Amino acid sequence: MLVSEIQAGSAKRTKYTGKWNKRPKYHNIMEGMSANMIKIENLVKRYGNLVALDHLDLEIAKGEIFGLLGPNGCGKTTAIGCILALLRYDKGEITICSEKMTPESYDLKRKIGIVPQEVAVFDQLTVQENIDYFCGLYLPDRKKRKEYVEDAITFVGLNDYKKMYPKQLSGGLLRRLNIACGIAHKPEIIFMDEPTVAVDPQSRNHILEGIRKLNQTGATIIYTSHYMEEVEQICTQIAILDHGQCIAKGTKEELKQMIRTGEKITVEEAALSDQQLEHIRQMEQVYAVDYQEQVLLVRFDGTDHNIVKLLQYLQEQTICFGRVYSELPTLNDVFLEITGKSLRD
Amino acid sequence: MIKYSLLRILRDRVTIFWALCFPFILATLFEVSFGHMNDSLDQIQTAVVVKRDGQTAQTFQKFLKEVQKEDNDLLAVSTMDQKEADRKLKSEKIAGYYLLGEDVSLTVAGNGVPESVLQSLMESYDSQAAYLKTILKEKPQQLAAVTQKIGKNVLKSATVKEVTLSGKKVDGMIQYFFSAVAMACMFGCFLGMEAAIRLQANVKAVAARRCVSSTSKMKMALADIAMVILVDYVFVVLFLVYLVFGLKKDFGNNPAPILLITFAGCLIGASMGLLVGSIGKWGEDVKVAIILSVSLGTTFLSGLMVSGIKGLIEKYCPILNRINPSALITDALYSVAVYPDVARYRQDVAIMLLMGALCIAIVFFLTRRVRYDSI
Repeated sequence: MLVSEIQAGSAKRTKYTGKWNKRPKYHNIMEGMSANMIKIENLVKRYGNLVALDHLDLEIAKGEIFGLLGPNGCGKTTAIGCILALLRYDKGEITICSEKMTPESYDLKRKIGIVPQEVAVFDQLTVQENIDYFCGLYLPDRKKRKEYVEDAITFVGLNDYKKMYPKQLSGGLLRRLNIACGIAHKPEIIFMDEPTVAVDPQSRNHILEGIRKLNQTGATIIYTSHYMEEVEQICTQIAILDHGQCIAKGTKEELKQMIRTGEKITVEEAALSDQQLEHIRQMEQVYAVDYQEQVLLVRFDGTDHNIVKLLQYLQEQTICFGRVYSELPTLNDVFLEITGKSLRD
Repeated sequence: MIKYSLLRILRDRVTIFWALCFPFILATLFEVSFGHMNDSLDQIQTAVVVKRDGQTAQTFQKFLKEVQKEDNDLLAVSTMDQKEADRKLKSEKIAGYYLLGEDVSLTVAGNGVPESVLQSLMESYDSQAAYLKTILKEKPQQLAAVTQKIGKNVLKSATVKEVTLSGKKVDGMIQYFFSAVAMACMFGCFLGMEAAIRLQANVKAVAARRCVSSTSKMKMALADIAMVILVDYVFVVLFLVYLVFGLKKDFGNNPAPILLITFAGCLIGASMGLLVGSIGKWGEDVKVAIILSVSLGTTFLSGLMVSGIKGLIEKYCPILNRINPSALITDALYSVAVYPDVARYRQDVAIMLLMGALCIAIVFFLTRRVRYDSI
């Protein structure tokens, strides 16, 4: 039994005991199937002259939290639209559970839940009615649905708000409702398209925690975001997209190993001459030096005693300096090295 | 699914206002503005004061008698002295009195419709006076016949009374209420458009969410369409009840054809809304503007704002009246409630049902288009 404390609103605390680990029976039909839940081959999607997806290949295995990371407009949402058979595409093939996905693939669709980027609920229905309505599109059994709806409300921590209308909810609570509507029928595959956009840190943590729990109960999650910290935090596999292409794929560790940066050391308020900067460039494992407004950034391609060596040199040269800190590479560094630009650009 | 479709419609305040409240408000305003216009023409209380019992007084009294003969309900004439007439005029028991001496004069206390009718009668009489005097002088034996003839003509010019082929008395303002019913039916297109938009994944996020569910789009569309037509029909029936029992409007004695006409009207209203909601990738605002233009435009052409426009269209472009849903509704209501024309009524209802079915078929065809170029 999952037990968690979540905080809803500023002072309110709700304790819930979710039943999300009680997976429905239909999960058993997945046994013996291919390990790949979703396979995308050579997918091309154009909007007029703009190539939104450029020969995209992806394989997503069962039980993963698969992160699609990339800047705005890189093709994440378009990829999801194509996978869900909402969008017409120019070329390629998409299979889910080894079956070709079409708009009429109702059996497949039953296994899928979607949390769209935009909050997609009915303003005229209460929290509980919205969840019940969307759950009902997948699950006709009223008795079972009642139980599932209660589970979903508890899972997202909306027990105190179930009679409220969406317009009465804060942005964070609305996002939770959006998630509840997508997961209430306990799908095996859940698409989450930037579910934490414009959400306060408290609700964001709650959402990310919830995603982990969903995954622990067996759901495969496809998570798109342009927040690299979130993707690093929860995703077991990550694909980095840029201009509709998958430019790198792997675990976060694998992705970081793909790049040269092993460690970044920043030294603030350091007054350095050109000669001293040249000496630093010549140091062992240093492959890039950036010096602007008395802030020195040194990139090393290894992680062995770099900070000791750098500080030793500064001491020998009697150079005064302020704060010094070391960072391991992030997914942004991966993106930066591969594309030459930052994820935030 | 059906329960929530219904709840969504009933809780949408804007839609409810236009589809339910607005026709009630409009009909009430019509009633307040000119609903009693015919009542005040029914019987005008007037008096005759004979100051001098000469030839003029006798002729005018004969003339009034002829007017009364033509229309019993128009005038109630009593003879009294001037003192009593003044007293009754002051207490508003009579609308005015004629003072008969050497000439005829009229005394009134206000300037409403009854006073205008009395004035009109007197002016018409005056204009014929010279002619009557000549007759009296030259052929006095024909005076009675001529007076009767003039009385009829004067009555016609003072007030026109419509009589139907069936002999029913017609409320001249009923056409406005028929048009209001047509408008109420056509406002179902707001409900229809809302329902259609909520199935367009390229317009609404909530529609995209519905489209990726395991329930077929057709099933959702069918549930929504059925609810939209049902709700619109219930609203229109409530409106009819208000008109018939609240405002006492005469819709005839046979409710079945009236209910069938309004059902066909609701079907065509809702289905036109569904059609506009289903075509194009325009935003919701643009679609609302189109719907507003269609519903108000068709009711305008059916005579809601300008009386007689439907007749003009019938004269110069009759096909427009055959395809304008509002004109078809008012025409069918006339055919049932005012003049009995079963063939016309059947033709109107058949056209409406056909158009409604055609719109729904197109909607289903468009809804079948399940993948979008962009969302």
